[in-house]
Amino acid sequence: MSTGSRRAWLMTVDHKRIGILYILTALVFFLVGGLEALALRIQLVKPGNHFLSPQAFNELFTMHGTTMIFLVAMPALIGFGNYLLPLMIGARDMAFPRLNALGYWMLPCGGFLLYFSFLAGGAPSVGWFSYAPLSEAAYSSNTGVDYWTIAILLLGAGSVAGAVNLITTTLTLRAPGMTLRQVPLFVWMMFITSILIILAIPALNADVVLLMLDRLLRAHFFVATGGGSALLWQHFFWAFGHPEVYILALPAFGMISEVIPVFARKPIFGYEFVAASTVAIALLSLGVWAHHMFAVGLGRPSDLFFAASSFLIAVPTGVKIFNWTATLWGGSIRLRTPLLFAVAFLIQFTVGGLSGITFAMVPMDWQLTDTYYLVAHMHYVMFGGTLFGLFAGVYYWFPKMTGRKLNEGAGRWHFWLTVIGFNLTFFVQHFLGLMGMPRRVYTYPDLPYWGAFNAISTVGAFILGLSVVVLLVNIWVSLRRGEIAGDNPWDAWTLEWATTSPPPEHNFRAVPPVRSRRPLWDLAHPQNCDPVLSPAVTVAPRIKPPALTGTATFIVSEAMFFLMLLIAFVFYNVSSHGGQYAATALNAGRSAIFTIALLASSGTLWLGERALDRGRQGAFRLWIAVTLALGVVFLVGQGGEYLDLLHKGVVINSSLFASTFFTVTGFHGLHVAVGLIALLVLAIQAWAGDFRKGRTDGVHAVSLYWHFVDAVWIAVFILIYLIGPHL
Amino acid sequence: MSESRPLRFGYLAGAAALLAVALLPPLSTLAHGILFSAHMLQHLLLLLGVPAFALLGFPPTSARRSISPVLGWAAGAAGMWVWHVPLFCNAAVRSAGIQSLQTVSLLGFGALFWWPLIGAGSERRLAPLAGVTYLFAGCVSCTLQGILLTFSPVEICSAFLNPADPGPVLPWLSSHWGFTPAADQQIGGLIMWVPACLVYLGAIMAQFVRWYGSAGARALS
Repeated sequence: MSTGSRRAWLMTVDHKRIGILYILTALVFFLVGGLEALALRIQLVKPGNHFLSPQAFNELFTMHGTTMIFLVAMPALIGFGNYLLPLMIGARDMAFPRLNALGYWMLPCGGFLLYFSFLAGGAPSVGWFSYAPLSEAAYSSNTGVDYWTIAILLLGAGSVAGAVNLITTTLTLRAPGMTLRQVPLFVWMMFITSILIILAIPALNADVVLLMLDRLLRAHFFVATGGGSALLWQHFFWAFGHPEVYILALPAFGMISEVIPVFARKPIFGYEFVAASTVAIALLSLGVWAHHMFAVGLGRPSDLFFAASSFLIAVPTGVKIFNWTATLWGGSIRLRTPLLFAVAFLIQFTVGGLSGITFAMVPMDWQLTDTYYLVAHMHYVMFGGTLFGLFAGVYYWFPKMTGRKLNEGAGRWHFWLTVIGFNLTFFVQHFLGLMGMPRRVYTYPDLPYWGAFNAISTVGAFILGLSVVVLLVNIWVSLRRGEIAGDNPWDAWTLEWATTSPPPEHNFRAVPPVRSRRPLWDLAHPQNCDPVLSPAVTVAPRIKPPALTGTATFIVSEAMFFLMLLIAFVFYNVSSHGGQYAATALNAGRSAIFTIALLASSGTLWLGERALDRGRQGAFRLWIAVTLALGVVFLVGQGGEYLDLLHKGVVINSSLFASTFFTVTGFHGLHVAVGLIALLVLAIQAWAGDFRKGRTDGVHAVSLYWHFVDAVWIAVFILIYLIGPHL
Repeated sequence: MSESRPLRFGYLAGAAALLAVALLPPLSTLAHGILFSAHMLQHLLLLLGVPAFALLGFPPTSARRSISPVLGWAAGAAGMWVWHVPLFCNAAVRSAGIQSLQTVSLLGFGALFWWPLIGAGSERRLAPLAGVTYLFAGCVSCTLQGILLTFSPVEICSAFLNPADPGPVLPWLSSHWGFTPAADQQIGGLIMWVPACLVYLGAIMAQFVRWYGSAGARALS
């Protein structure tokens, strides 16, 4: 890391540098989002204050929420994952270094677009979840929400790219002997988080795409006047939003699970329980989003079921809290800054979890939703939990990243200021919420205690601001004059501590043997090793092709995206919404012809692959040309259908049928076009003779994607052309 | 499939008990044209509950063959979806013969679904993480249908709308709780969406027990 100019940082594909870029970008936005929060707290310091206008207040709380979630928490966690995951599994780099760089650069672009809205006529002022119809053009007429949607799409795409990379790296690049049953818990939790990302982000992307179509092309997905439904926005948003809570929490759980054992000098208590309960949390989180919607009137049956299932999440989370506590129990505790933050995390996250359970009770939720009680709850989870976990991680891994330790004394100042500031700011907000103070209102009347509690909260916020200054100074000074760390300053047991601090560009000279969950413990205590978990016979590692694993992972995410669009199609076409219907507008017979062309192209590509595997280059070139031609036939056929519909006056905003039809088939057509470009690249490579040496992973990956695009069309054709007219 | 005899008999007794709950009054009476939600409970007991416990009670052998997981998964999904096509759902309510066919087919679909996980010999089952994926995909299919039933404005099974003999329960629910056919269908959908998915989740946790358990066994040997 010492070598290279600043420009090398811009062009880097090294996972460690990209990880640090993620973390630094998150730090910059953390300062911005923090200043926004301070402005909000100044406005609320006394009743009837006029520091901010109502409009500025709305813009700032929207930007604060969006920034902290999408530009701070996610990038910081993905950044740590990027830096640490390859080191912890003994890999040389991520599976796809250039995709990694692409994923990172989406972040500053998205952040820039979001903040550019301030210059382009006003920031979004609709809250971080941008509820329709408030976010529709009729009620938010400036371009703020447009910038928000584009930024969210970019950031979402970047997150999916990062998650695909992390999953593929975990699955294909682990050191010999390291099975998935013995990866460090941080790796396991990043892996599960990444799976949640690829499953949940598409729901947000689909939602945002529909909102963009509403705003830019005057469709009516979320506008009641055109037959649309604002509720669908909420369903899709929370289908993303609830898993998102765990996307932000699980990596912090992973950090805590690394820090606590090392500073208690004991292996984690019940590794299996911590790992498996993570999966339970992830799966439950995908199915309980409706508890964010108790107040919209889904009906009593739904409320009851989702209240019950939301209580259940407390079980696997409670399991973890007990495991961490039991790890500390009887350990020889070294109360250094990382452990301080970890212990505060345990307590504060439990408080946030308990207030979360109160929200699972429907009558409580009706009373408290959109009050400061909710603000307190979610900050106890996101700040008291995630951010404290992140701070523990910063103090723990800073020596690995920089070669120097952060100053311990300043660390304690930072810790105590953060704990005091955080609890002052947010604990009193529970009471404000219980007394009925609504959130997202720029000021409040002078009711008993409201002014006093708000003043306390504002003082707390400024103490938090001071704590951040201490952290920044500590980083600045320690980078220059900090204690030299050495390879393994904490006497830890996972692989990242087996290399130098900071690690060389290639990470390891030689990866130590891995047979248990604590390879460095085994190395230091050959007489007293941990139980061996690796397969008895260590064969030469079989290098699985990352290209196929990565493509398959990406396809899962794409499938979720199309699933959401198809759900929207069913939702908007199942009952009479007025306007054209599939039966009158579509010609299923003609579409069947170009459908056959597309399906045939899957067959021809398969034949081409088979020819290539048998070394028949000429046949491969022929089949790929045929596949390309069939794909073009499909696109031309679809274009013809579009023209025909346009002549009939069916355009994207003429009815909900037309809006959903053009959205679903349009996105599918876009995927066909992308597939054609990939095939064209393959064809050029084939003519250049690139595949003679048997490097055919790319061919198989493109082929998998092409088959997927065909499979999506089968679903689209059946649903829209065959079932649709009868809905 | 378990090694210990008492445990196996316990599983078989569990299967018998679930079968009795599903096919005897009051559930069978309510499920037959009175409450859609009761039908859904019966449906899930027959599809997910009884076959799983019955297979767990099988004597252990390592030789019993598996079936293709694609086939097993498709059978599980078919068991969910086919009988909720309005035509078939109504037919099963109106004709006792078709209802018997439904019962038998659900048990069969369920056995096929669970076969790759617990029916096949211990050496031939799906690997634990593949099993997790298999079950997760099952949960997705089940959730989708649950969502469809919960939010559908259309009556899926109209035979439940005007029962010939409503019995004592339905009028009581209607008069005391304001129970409506729409709420009935919602509860049916929610049973499929939420508790059914917990069955899959429980099975996924069992896969993790198997996965980590096998590592522990190796470490000890």
